[in-house]
Amino acid sequence: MTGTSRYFELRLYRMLPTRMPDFHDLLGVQVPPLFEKCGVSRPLGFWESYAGPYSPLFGYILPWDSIDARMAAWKRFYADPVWQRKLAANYAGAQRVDRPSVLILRPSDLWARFRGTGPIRTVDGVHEMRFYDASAVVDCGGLGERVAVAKDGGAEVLVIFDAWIGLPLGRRVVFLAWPDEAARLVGLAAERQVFPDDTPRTQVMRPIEYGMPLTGLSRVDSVGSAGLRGQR
Amino acid sequence: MLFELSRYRSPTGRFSEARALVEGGRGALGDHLLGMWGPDGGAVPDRFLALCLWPDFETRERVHGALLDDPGQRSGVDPALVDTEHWIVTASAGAPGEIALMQSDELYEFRFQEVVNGSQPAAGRAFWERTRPEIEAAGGRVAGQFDVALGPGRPVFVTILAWADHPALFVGWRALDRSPAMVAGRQAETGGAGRSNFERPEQWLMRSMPPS
Repeated sequence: MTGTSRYFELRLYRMLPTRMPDFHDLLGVQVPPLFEKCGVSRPLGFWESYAGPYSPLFGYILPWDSIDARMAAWKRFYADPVWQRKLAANYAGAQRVDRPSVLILRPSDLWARFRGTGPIRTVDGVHEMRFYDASAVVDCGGLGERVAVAKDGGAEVLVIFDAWIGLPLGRRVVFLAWPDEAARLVGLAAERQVFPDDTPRTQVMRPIEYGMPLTGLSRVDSVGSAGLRGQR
Repeated sequence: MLFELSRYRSPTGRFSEARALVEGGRGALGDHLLGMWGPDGGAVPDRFLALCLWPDFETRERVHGALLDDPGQRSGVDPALVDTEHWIVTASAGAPGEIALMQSDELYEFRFQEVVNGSQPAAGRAFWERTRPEIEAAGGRVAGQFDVALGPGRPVFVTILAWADHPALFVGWRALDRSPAMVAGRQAETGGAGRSNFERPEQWLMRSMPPS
C-alpha cells in the first residue's frame, strides 16, 4: 500500500491551449522508459482537467520514500541525452506547458480514516482535486466531517495529503472519485446542505487510461498484476 | 547543497508572536539558517522570510522537520502563523559559485518573478551577464538569484537585491529603466520570443532580522 511512501510528488502542468494531446504522447509513450532508466518512481495516477481554476491542466503523482532519492533521480532524468533532445525540440517552438507546479506532500493522518479495506481496483469516473486550508476547515467543522459527507454522498476517497514543500503548511489536498458527473453533482448538493457557506476550491479531473489510479492510490507493484487482472 | 526559502505570514497584530515562534527553532537550525528578513514599511505587512542551506534532505527533515510539525504552526485554532510556505530553490543558470548573502542593514528587495517556461537558462545567464553589472552601476547589490525547484507556478526566479535605502532603490530602478543595455536586452528578448523572459515581479521590501 502507499502507506510505505513517506512523500508524494504532485506535478501539475498548466497547459498551453491545444497542446494536451502532445503532452499525452510525451507522458504516456515517450517518458515512461526514461523514468525507469533514471530511477524516477512509477506514477500512481495521471489526470487531465478542463474544469476548474487551473485548466487546462495535466497532473500526476509520484511516490517517494526519500526526497534525496527523488532529487537524484530527477537530476539523472534532466541530464539524460534523450530528454535533452526532447527538451530542445520543446523549446524550439513546440512548447506544451505554460506553468508547472512541483509540490511535495505527505500522507495526512486523516487519510487512514477513509482508506478502503476492500480489494484494490482501478478507479475510473470523475475525480476532484480539492484544496482546503486548515483554518477554513476548522471554521466549517473539520475536514474529517467534510470528507465523511462526501463519502456518504457516493465519493471514494483516493487520498488525503498534507502540504509539505511548495504549498502553505496546513493546506490539505484531497482527491475524491465519483462514479460520474451526475453522482458528483448530487454529492455536492448534499455537501451544500451540511456546509452551506463553504464551497470547496476544486479542480474536476479525468483519470487517464494509461495511468488510471488504484484504490487508495495503491502501487501496482503492491498488488501484483494478478490482483488487477480484468480490472483495466 | 539545497537552499530552502521559507515564507511566513502572521495575522495582523501578531507579528512578534509569529516571529518568536519561528525563532524558537533558530537555535536548532544553527548554521543552516543563512538569514531572516522582516517587512520594511507597509508593502508586505505581516510577512517574513528565512533562508536555509542544507547538505541534503535527510538533514533538513531531521533538523527542520520537528519545527515544521510544531502544533503552533499547524493548528487551525487561532494560529500565530497563518501561512508557512517552504520552497526549495537552486542558484539560477549562470550564477557565480559564491553568492553574497551576508546580512546587513541595507534595504533588501526580494523579487518573485515568473519566467517564461523554457527560458530559465537564457534568463539566468542574461541576468548575471547583463543585468547584474547594470544594477551594480545603479547603486544596488545582487545578493543572489534562485530558480524555484520545488514550489508552485514554476518557473519562478527569486532575485535578492540590496540597496542602501529607499531613495537609492528609487534612483537605482529609475536609472535601470533608462539604461541602454537594459532596453536593448529587453528588445532582444521580445524580438526572439515575442515577449520578455520575465513577467511582472512580486516585490517584497524587507530588512534583515537579527535574532531578537
